[in-house]
Amino acid sequence: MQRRHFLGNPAVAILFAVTVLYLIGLLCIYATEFTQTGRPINTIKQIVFAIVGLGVVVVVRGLGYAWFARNGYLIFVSGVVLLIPLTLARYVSFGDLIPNRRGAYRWINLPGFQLQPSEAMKIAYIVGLACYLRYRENYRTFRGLIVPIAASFVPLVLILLEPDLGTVLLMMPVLAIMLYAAGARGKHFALLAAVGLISAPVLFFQLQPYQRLRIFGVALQSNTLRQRLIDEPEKFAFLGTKRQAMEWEVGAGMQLVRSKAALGSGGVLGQGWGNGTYVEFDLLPDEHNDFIFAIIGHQWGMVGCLAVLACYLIIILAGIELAAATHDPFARLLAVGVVALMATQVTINVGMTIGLMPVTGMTLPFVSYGGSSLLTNCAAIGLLLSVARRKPYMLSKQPFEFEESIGRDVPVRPTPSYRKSI
Amino acid sequence: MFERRLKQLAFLFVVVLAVISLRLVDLQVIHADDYREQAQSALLRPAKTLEPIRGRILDRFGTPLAADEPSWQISVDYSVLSGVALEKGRVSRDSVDALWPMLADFSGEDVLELHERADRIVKRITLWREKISAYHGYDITLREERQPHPLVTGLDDQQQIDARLRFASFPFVEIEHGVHRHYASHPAFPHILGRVGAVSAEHLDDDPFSADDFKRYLPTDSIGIMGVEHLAEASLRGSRGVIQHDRRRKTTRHLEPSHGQDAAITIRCDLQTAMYELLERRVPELLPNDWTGASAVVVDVETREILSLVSFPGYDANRFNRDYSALRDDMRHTPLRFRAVANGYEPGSIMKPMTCLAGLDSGRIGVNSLIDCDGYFDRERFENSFRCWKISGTSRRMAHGGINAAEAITGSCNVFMYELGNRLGVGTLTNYYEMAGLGKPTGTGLREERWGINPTPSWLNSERNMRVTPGIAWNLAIGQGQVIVTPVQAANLMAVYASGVRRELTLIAGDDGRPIYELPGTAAEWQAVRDGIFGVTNSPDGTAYKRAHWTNDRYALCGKTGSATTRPAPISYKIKYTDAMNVEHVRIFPAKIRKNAIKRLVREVPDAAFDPDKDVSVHEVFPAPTDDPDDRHAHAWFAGYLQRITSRGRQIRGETPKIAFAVLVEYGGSGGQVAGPVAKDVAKLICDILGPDLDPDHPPAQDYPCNVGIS
Repeated sequence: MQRRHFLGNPAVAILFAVTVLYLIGLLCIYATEFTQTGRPINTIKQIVFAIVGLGVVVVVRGLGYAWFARNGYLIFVSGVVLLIPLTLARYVSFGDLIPNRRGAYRWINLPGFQLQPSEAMKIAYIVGLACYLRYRENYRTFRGLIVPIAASFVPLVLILLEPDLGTVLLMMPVLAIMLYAAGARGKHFALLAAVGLISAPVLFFQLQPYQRLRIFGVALQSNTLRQRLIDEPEKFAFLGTKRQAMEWEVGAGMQLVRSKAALGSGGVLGQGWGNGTYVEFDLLPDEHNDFIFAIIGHQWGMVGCLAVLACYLIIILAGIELAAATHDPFARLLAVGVVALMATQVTINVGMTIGLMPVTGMTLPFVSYGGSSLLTNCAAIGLLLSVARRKPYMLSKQPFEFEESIGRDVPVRPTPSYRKSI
Repeated sequence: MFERRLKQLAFLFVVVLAVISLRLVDLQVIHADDYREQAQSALLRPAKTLEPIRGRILDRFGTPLAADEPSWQISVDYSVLSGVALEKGRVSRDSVDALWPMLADFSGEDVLELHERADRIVKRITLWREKISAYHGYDITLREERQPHPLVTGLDDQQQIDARLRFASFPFVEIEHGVHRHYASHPAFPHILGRVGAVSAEHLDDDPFSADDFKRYLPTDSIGIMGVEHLAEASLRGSRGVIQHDRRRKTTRHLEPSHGQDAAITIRCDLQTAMYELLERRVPELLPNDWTGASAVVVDVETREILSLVSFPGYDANRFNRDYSALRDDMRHTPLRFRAVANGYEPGSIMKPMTCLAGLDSGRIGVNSLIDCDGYFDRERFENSFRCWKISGTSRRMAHGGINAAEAITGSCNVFMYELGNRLGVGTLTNYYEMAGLGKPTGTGLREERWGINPTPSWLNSERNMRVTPGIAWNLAIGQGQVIVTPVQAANLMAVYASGVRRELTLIAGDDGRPIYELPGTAAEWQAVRDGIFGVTNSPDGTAYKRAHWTNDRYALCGKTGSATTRPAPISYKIKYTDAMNVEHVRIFPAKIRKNAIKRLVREVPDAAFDPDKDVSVHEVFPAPTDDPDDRHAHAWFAGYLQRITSRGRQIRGETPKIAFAVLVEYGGSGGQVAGPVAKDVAKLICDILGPDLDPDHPPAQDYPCNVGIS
């Protein structure tokens, strides 16, 4: 049997990478929590989440992507409906059912657990998009493209109103990647990109000052720029106020400054598990959550960081491999969507930790503490595995492959040889 | 085509991860050391300030008279003091309103006074906040705005427990540990020692240490505001220290505070207390109905150190806050007044020796020149206006006749002095007065000190808009008219008479750098002056021989009586006003001057409407006016020094007296009737207490223990 793929079986590779990531995360959660408080409560919770997550993987994989393909629109609409009470909560009080936390309405309190509809929406969004884009007329014509974009706006606006900027920032790239993978025409794509670029400044001024500051925070990391702002506050007023520049390290820039210090002080090999300033003391807010990557870098240095990135690379490449292998257009789009979801989450989360992206609430998949995030990502992985599981229809044509000049849908390439190895 | 798109996507993700990896290399390899340093400093906890202990004030022998002591204080949250808590509804109006009377009841202070203290705190911190905000260019919230601030201080352990029980229902009141300035309780000391108070807005604006982080004044600091506390502030204060730990409990920075240095003053606490007690006993005895106050100053002639500086009446410095309103309102005795340095009086006859010296030195008269006193000066022109004291009232006694300078001093002859003043003129006379130290600070450095007035021709022109006439010089020659001296200046004047040398006085021990100014005049001329002064108390012709002749086997009391004419002065005002409800009221405020009475009304009844010109009138004067138009009032001086004498009672001429002093009894009447007997007691006291120091062979006649110091 010829082994053409460096990862061997993509499904196994994905499961392996996910397990490694989860264990690294668990070690970090335990190390910070136990050294600081002596009681590993979150660690135990995270283990419970993982068991539930495993169940989610099994169930989703068992349902199979065909089930999702059949119920795609229903799932999408359900996701949107779940978001509506959160928006209403801004105007009508739901009491403890939808609490206001740090000025945002993101959670619905249900007996036993807290539902975060924007997390569920991520999966619903991918499924819905894949459902629509599997038909050729929907992605090759400009009119066909209007629908997914318009449909995207509904959940995007609802989530933006919560507000949960992070999820919005996540869904836009997912949409773009799925459109691209589906085969949207270059000129349509360019038009969309142009519209996006033009609307960006308008959107920017709609942002809250603190959200804007986060975007400029990437620039304000620079000591030189901050000094300029302190010296000439009027000239650089668009970046922020003089006060924000002067109180950077204890104010707006505190998390970024500390996360970079935690990462940088790890060096190449790190301080060791359970060691180091940022593990021993509660200096970095959200250290077990959004900023867990900084703690990984602090404890295991660059080696640890690269190992984590390698695991994500495995998931991404294996996902793309699966997408390439399947003949079902829905399955392919689903796989690309899941890969896009993972890659974008990793890029935004790690990017903000290392100061290349604005700080937004974004978890690192499988590593960060948190049930909603873990279960969502487990569901995504379940979808991916269901794509791997379903044997391709041997007789079907290659999806998305056709000869335009001929105008008839006939396969132009032989099917990939790896199918034989399955 | 679309398979290729998947490959492109894969490539895109690889590129993104590569960019992230490059950034990791930048953070974790290239700049790793910088970030390690940052991680280290992230461990630091905020630095804690270590407050210095304020230095003590010691008397000449090291007896502590003022010292910091640990105590308890009642503090109230800043948000309540500033009213922010009430505005935001964090406290109820009832509980805030209930607090003030309870605090006043507990501390024994006036509610208004407490309110004002709170206002001062808020004003100070607001100013500081504005200053810092202006510096940063944006609005800053100070740490002090989140802290409680002391309103009542100096509680002992028992009071502390009591306060905790009483104020338990006020969540914004805290009973805190603090430091309290404790003073010698004897009423002889409060004026000299002064007091410390909270730093005011002006201090913060004008801070000599603003460049020094450890020394500059913070809005919660205290500062010496009166007396020696103010005078020696720079050395008493010390500077803050700092301590910083990291989260591993390692000390990363530690600078001990440098505690303030003790300030040693030149006052002898035994002499000071005995002198005060003497005045306290004798003054009410001699003037049972009329006494208001007195002061006494004793200086060392050679070093010009002030050995005693008494202002009577005094008060207990430790009860200042509690007794403040009563002390403030006692306008007759004005116990808060530092009389010895801050009250000016006409010098009267004690200026006569200086007039004579001026005449002798400028050659207007010789040592043996005679001037004839027939009882009147230029009677043809002035009738009875300028007459000698010997021709007084209805009892006509003999005039002095032809006398020389020494005899004129001994007999205190006015006519002689008028003539001399006529010959000298205002310019020359005030020139000599200035050499003797009139109209100038004596050098104590006390902020309360007044300079008195030496009415030079230019001063008369500019300040009084007066033409300089010979009449002014005649009056000046007998120490009357515009000339004003303080008791401490009078004592220094006596030291000048005793030594022929002027030097600045000092209150701070060991201050030896003060220059010495030799006054003009030959030895013979000075001797004539001193002979005259010796005669006042030791010759039967002397004006104070009857009442103030005192010698022991070594010393004779020499000096000059004097009287400073004065008029009854207002001690309270009546103000008619209408309140906000348009109801008329009349209230009486104790005050010396109109302005202060109006200030009090505005403070206590902010919405009162009144006409400052018509509605304010003098209510009471002291001394109360009588029907007798001839009823004149005068403060009595006795200023002198102790002259060594032979066993036969003759002065030892070559020897400079060592101790000079001045006593002033307010409303003591003219001449030696009141001041003379007091002076005798003072002389005895000085000899008893200073005797062993003046002369090692001389055993103290009586033991004057000094047990006023604090532990």
